[in-house]
Amino acid sequence: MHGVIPSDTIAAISTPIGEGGIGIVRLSGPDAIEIAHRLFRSPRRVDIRGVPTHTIHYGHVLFNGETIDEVLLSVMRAPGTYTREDVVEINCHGGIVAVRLVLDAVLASGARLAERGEFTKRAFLNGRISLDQASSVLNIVRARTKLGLEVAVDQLGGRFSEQIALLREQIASLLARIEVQIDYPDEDIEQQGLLAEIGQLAVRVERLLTASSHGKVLLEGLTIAIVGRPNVGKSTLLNALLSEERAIVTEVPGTTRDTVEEIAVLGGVPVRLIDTAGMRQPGDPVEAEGVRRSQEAMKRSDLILLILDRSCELSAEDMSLLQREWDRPLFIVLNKIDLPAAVRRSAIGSRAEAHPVFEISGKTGEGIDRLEQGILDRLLGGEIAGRSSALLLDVWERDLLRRLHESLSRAGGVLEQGASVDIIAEGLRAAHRIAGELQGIDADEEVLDQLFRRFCVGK
Amino acid sequence: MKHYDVVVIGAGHAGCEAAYAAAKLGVSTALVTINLSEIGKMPCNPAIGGPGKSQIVREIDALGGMMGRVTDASTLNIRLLNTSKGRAMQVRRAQADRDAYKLHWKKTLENTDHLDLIEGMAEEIVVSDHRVVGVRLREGLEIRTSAVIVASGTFLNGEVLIGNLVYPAGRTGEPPSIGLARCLRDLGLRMSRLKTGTTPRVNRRSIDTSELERQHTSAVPLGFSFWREQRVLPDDYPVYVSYTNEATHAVIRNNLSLTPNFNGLITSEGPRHCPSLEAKIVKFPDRTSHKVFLEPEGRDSAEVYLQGIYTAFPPDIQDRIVHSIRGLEHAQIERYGYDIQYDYIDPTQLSPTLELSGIEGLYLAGQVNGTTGYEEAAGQGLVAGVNAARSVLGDPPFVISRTQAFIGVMIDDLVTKGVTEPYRMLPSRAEYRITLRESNADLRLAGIGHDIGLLEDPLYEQAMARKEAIEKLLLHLKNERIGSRHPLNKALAIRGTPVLTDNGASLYELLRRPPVRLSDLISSDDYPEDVLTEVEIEAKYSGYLEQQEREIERLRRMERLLIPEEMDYAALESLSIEGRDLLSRVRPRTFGQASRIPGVAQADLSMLAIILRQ
Repeated sequence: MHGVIPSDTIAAISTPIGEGGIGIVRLSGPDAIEIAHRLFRSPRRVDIRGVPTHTIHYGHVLFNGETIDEVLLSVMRAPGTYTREDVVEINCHGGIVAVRLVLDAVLASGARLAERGEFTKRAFLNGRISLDQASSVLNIVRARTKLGLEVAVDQLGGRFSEQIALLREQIASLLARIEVQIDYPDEDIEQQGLLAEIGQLAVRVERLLTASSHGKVLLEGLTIAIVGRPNVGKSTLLNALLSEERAIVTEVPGTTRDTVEEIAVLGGVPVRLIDTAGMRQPGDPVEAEGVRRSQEAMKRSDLILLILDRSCELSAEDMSLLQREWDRPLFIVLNKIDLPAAVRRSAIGSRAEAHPVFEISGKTGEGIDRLEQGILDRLLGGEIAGRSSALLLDVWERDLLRRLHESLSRAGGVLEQGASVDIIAEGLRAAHRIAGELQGIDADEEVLDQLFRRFCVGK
Repeated sequence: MKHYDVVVIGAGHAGCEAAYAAAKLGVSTALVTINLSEIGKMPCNPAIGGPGKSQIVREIDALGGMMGRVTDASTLNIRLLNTSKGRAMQVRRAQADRDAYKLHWKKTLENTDHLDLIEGMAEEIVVSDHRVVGVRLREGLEIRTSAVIVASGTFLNGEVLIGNLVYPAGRTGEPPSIGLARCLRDLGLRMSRLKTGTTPRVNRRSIDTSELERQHTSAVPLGFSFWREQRVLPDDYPVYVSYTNEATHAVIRNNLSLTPNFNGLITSEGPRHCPSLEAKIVKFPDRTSHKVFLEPEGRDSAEVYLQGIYTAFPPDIQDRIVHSIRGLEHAQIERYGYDIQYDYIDPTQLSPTLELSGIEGLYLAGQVNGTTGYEEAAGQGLVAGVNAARSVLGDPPFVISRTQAFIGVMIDDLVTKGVTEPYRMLPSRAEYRITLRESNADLRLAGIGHDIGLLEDPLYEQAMARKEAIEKLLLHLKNERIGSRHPLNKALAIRGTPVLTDNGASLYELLRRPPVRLSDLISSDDYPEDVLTEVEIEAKYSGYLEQQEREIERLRRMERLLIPEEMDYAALESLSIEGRDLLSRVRPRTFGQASRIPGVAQADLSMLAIILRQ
């Protein structure tokens, strides 16, 4: 059996490309077994087209008459596979070069290179997993950090769904108390304490929203721009933050020679550091271009680190950078504390009250820990997002959560203003519907179930 | 052999409305009933309307049906309910004179062209090659026809239960339909059983209402129909309110084993919205009293209906229950309460036209589809009657969507979700209820009623005139701006709402402010009351109405994605087995309907959407 969507056969390297000895090339689709068969030679002359499903076979991959690698090949037939299509996995042993060559051979034999997340997409299209699960898997694929991965796995287990289910049930229960007044005008059922309960629900949704913004950070990382006039130690700080034990994930070439971007992991959160060009007033056209790009970089950042050299007097440039309205959270970093101080904190004046000030030495590493902690505290809303407080949500899920919060707040708002029951009910009905949408279910009957369970009504 | 284009079986609320609608559309119609003297009978309490139901009555009226007009002609008292719950939820409820109501229906039907009334018991629907070809009556009469509407209420294999007594009956005193039930089963329909109950009825002269709370008829003109002058009725037939008490509850608790609800005789689901008194006592042991409404049955009848105490205890226990209630100490019970169990047809076998899928020309309407309530039955009757006539005339099906009317909500619920208990319409079932008000049913539906040929020209023109007046006044309010120096500012200050700046505001913007009334802004003498009310609702609820409009549009998009009638769900192997099973049971016509089937997983729906778009 194949999926309902007539599909071609796709292939990709399904392990991270790194230094590990084993890499897996995965094929999925109607011709997966046939393509693998063309390339595979078994010492015992096994024809993999005839082998039972979910079996592993030892042999070699040959292409154009040359042996590429020694491999273990797994054959898994539809529908009992991740994609519900025929799947072949080729475990290569020859390191990164061999894995690439095997993939090339597979692609040359009729498979197409899979798009990012396409295996999961097929699993979803073929009804193997739900949309909710699919987006969790895609989050795993996309998650750049270990912490991000853990949260994604957690969600795959349905933690978010459980919370939404509970929330929806509580909204239904509240709604039942309001609806009973409309459905049964003869019963004189008065309701107390609705406002407080609606408020509590709104707070819970707000917490989920906060957790989802932590999730966004975990998934996508933070972007931090390091700014300052030349020679205040921006590169030194960058290197200090990127020190070896903090595990450089990858190196991204700067967009121009004037900005350098690096990715580091601070406290489990990926951080994109942008070392901007000096912020000197542009004199010549080349420099003007550099400054323009630096400012672009700052626009995409979540936080700005303004570096000042504590060991010499503040220049006019420093002062203008200090006075500038950054439109972003700003940390003031006094560098070079290993040298005698020439700048007193009071010189920074009122800016020190509005923005946190850190004293560090990029050279000796002193104070770097405090700066890191400050960065994390600031961007994770005062606490470090761990598995328990982070949610990885898609854009549409975050949007629904936001609408859920709005509906509850509106219901509470109009209730406070003394609005009539029908108006209050509208906000809660919307909230209930949205919660159902988040769960992918139609929940109309629930309110009535609640209503009849709780109230003795009827003619 | 006689021939009619449409044959309606049963002359209850569904059958009457169905027969009237079919004949009104110009096709020859026969209405077959076991007892011609019981046309339009109200076997339960003699009240019409209330939350959810009033919307349906007004919708029937707007479409050109008769329930509203017949009710108004036989009303004893009428009240506006939910007046404190917001204007969009206000509904009317009337106590109707049971006998007058029946007579008005009979007169209406007997004076309808193309319609014949026939007394007799339908025993067989003759089907040939998956098409209805005729109806056979017990009396030996055979009628050739191409469309049959079954509106047999609780008569299919009906059983009345009182205490330990069980006997076959369609209603108390009337025979059940055994043959017809067997015939439907033989046609392969999925059928199941439901139950419902009635209350004791007492003689008015034996009760003492002097100490009881009294519900008066409306002091302002009120009625159901858009097409009749609304009137103030003489306050001669009030409803009285009394309460059960600990003594009542003790009688019930001590004798539970004597009622069919608890002695094992009742095997089917009863309505949660209309529980028996014994169910109330058992389910809510903390409640020390329950309301009892003493409803007048009619001008020429001394019977009083004790609404709220549905019970099927043996007569001696019913006497003790009734006598324990204040005002009823010496009440003489003329008719004892009883339960009734009956067959109903799983309505998911129907299409939204109420035609059975698989048998062309066979329509089902009313309680036989698992609903309860006169209004619910009548709404279905109208839809089935119109569709049966249209199929004869070769016109396309007439479907009311849940975005258009409570009737649409009800039918969509029935054919999509099915029922597990008698289905009653409630406002909470309608997601667009702010839009689907009882006050604007004519504005929503008169055009449709006129298009299908049910609503007469002058009535349609009347509705259009009201619509125009409302739109004109709204436009005036939107165009008329006032500034900071306008005398109205004083009124705004008094109402505690901000006064105007130099920019000014339109009258419409002012009306949207909660404390501002339309009468603050214009001279209300210039406009009829029903125009003023609608304009005020349109302004005050505009934010919610606009939001619902967006949601309705979203739903319409899903409804536009049609599912081919011949869709073979079993072959869609990418769907879960449960999903395929549910979809092939209900056979939804649109993707929107599929998305409302309970239990169909999101993943299956996503898959279905992809398949449909291919």
